[in-house]
Amino acid sequence: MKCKDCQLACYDLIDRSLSTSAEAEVMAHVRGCPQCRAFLEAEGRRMRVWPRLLGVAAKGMSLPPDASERVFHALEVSRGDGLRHRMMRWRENRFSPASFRWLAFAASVLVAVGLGLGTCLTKDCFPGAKGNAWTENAADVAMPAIRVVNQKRTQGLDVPRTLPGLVTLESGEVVVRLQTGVELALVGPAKVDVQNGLRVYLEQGQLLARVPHWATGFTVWTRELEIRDLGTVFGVQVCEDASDVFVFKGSVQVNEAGFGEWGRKTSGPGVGVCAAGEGVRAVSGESPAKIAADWPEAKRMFGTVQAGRAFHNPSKALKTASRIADLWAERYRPGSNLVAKKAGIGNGIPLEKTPWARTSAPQQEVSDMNKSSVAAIVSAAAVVAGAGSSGATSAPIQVDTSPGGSQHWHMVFTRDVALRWDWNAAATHAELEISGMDGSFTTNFTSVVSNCQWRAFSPDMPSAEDVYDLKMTFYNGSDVVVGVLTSRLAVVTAAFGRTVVVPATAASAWTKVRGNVVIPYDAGWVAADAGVANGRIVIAKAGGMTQTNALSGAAGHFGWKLKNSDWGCGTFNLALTFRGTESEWDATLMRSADGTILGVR
Amino acid sequence: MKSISASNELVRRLKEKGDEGAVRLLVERYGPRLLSAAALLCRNSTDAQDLMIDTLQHAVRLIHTFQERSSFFSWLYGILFNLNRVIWRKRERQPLIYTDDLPDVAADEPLVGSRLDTEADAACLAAAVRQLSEPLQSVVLLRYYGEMSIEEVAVALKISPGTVKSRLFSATARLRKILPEEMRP
Repeated sequence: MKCKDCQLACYDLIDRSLSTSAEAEVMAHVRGCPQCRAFLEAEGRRMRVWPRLLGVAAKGMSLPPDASERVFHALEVSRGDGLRHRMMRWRENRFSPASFRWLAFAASVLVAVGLGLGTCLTKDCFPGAKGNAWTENAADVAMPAIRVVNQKRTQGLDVPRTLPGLVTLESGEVVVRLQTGVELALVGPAKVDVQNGLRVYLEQGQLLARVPHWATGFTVWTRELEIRDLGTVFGVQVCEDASDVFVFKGSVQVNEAGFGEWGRKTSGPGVGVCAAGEGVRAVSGESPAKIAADWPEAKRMFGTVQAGRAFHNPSKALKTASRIADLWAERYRPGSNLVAKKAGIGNGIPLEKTPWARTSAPQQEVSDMNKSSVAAIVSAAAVVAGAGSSGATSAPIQVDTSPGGSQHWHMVFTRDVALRWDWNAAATHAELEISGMDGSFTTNFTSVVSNCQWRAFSPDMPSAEDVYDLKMTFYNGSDVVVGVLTSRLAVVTAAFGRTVVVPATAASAWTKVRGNVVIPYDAGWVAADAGVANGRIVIAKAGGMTQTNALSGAAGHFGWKLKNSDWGCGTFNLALTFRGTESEWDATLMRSADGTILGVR
Repeated sequence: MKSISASNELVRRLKEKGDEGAVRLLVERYGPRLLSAAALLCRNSTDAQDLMIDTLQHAVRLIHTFQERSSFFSWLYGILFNLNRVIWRKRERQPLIYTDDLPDVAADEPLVGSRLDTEADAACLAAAVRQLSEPLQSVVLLRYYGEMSIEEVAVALKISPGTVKSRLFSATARLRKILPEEMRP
């Protein structure tokens, strides 16, 4: 007998399931083989010790309070309704009204040939012909169409006795269970038109659906979307002109809502399959956007409500889903209706001091960005201000310099910048002056030209950040100025990849900032940014000079020249304000003797 | 004997009438043990509760398929582990983000720490079992937590006894690498 065979037989030996002769053979081998003896002894110890240990490890969990209720419902569903549910789902998934008529004809033929199934098929399986199947048979009488399972601080709750019917809730939370076993948690105010056990229309409010595996195909409609379950827990929220879907467990197929024959809702173009942690935000007049909790903060938020735990606190789950969608829209589609119009559901962009920094770019974008950033010049990047007034060191901030992450800044990932202008018709020659913090140069154009290329820096990577003012002055034959064009441009090293700014003392990221400082500003972050064209940044050295600088436009970059300037070392307070807004962003910078800005509080 | 007749009676009630009392009894009698097994399989308590509920729901709906080849509890275990297998497959296709309630251990690293007490050992063993693949997890838990014979495990998982033994052999070899030295059997 080989050792491996002996060791496998040891399991049977312990189970006492070997024949007498086989047992004797194994025991004979074990006696003569230390390895197999050790294996047998180890298995014996495992059988003695591990059950106890695993029992201890498994202790401490309690049954959910509604366990019996949930299990009992499975029994109800299995009692006579299973066939009807399956057939109904089949009908809903497969048949258009035209094919339905054809099938009704086929059913009547079956009746005619005496199979005796006609009554069943026409009455129970095809409820569309008579309007509603759920009120027709005895099983339905015993089993209410909608049962209230749980409610919390509910007011104005109205649940229909038959279907189709409208469930309305003014406030509070209620969990109802449909005959199919689908559970709907509604957070008031909400209005849901339950057409049958597998189809509901959410007119208004928030809904969380838990769909058992046998009810896969359950569909929620909103004005904008059709959400078809693939076995899951998902949330749907509807406000005036927007719908949100978010999946907590499993997956759903989301389509745009369409309208077919007789105004019947049909599936529109597909948006996609959403897995757990994904969803769709649809706003009227804009293509639905598929969202995902794909960055660390969102993942952390999702982790608190994912899977079945969403149903333990539907309000929290739905709020979290909404918040993730808001953050996603701020992050990936800033300035779109996806952000602005959702203010009624989510929190929108708050007018507050702290979050004056862009969040990080997704990993894929980062790698793409790195590839394309052999040399780059950009007109935008990230952070500086943004600390609150508490004086504590703020948390690390990841700076998103991806093109999609910048709301107002136009970004160019090259050191060769194409400049274009309209030549002034009255001009005979022109002068282009480019002024940076470390100097300026001019170029003359003696003939009509409308573009040029400017190499902003020689090495592949810029050695320092800078902000340039570009000024094109047109002259006529008498050297009289006939027109002036201006532009601004910033070189930001952060454009060469995602930069993690850790605004804490001794943080390495800030040690890169030596000498001159480029401060990006973007009043577009403020919800009320309409009249903020004229901003200013005030720099005040503690115990020293103060400088007030005008900013051009609601968004751009301010170049703070520190190198070879009179500022020296010390602590600097920066205050950024915009006319038309009441808030002020402030930050404190410390510049040490070696010329390094150490931190931001 | 009393237990067997009680479970037979419960099965009969579920099969014949399916009354609410029978379901409640099923949940009360078998729910806690199934939940404990689910806790060893799942990474958080919510998932464990869902798995336990799913198992009992399946059991209630499929009670007519129970043929008494094994004990009722083994049959329930089989459902639980088969559902867990489905969950594993789905998870492989759609990786979820888990915030674990239960301690986890980095793969391929032996667990460190001294034997402080039984609870620590228990947590250590459970964490190590969770690192196994689903097929290995199932046989280990049925064998050592469910205290089933090879034959019973085979029936529950609908695999051959030879496969059970082979998986057990692989699982214990893997656990020997994962567990701290003082816990290696």
